[in-house]
Amino acid sequence: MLSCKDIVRIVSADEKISWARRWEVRLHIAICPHCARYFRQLGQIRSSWQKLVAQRLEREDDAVRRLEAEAIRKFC
Amino acid sequence: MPTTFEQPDFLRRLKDRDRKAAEEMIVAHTKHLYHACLGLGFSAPEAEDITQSSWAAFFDSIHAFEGRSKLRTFLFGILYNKASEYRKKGKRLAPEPDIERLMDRHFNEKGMWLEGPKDPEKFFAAAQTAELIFGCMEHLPFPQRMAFHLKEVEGELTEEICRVLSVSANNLGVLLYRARNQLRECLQKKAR
Repeated sequence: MLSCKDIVRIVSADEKISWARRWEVRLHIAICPHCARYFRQLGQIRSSWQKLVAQRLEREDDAVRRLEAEAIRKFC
Repeated sequence: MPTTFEQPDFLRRLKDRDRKAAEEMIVAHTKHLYHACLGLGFSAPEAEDITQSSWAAFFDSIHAFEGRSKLRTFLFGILYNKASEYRKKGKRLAPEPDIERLMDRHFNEKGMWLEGPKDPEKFFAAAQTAELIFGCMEHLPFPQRMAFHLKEVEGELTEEICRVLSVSANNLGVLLYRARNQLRECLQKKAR
């Protein structure tokens, strides 16, 4: 049976696992409050970071245009 | 991304200095390069600089590219080198410590949590706060940040990230483990 430590290693190091194993991980997360919280926190970090970087990029839309134009002028 | 970029014909056109192909390449990827620089924590002017020098290096070296990896991987590899040069460190990876050893302080010998994650509401609020998460990201060594960004934002495949960073799959796992857990612990501290 997988321990909490195994679960944390598998989900945070993106270990390649079989479907059966994946099922076991899901089951563990469903019944273990610590691992569930851990798993949720990683998801929160991921989605928050995605959102913040996208927001920053939106503000920098002009910069992207300028960079494209400059690269096209230089290299095409 | 449309698959046309990965077709041998497109690569041949790039090598032949076909203007249309170069332009398509630039328009499709500039945003991702710039995006990655911001994701790595560079300021806007630094990100512009790195993006431009990556394109220069790309067009300088495309003739030597043999198409063994994806074009996109080749480009991101160049970006990674340029960005590392910019940071003047982390270019050669020091061997990562063993993952089991990193985990030991959180778990007992049966693999159970010594102390599980706490204060979920406060943690969630901290994770949503731009200054806090950008601040925590700043503390991560460069290869960890690049691994995290390519995985979580660009959604790149493991094999491609390994090629970009020139690390084994095992090493990438350690990089991701460390990036995620350092971010988590940093945010947990700030959540109090």
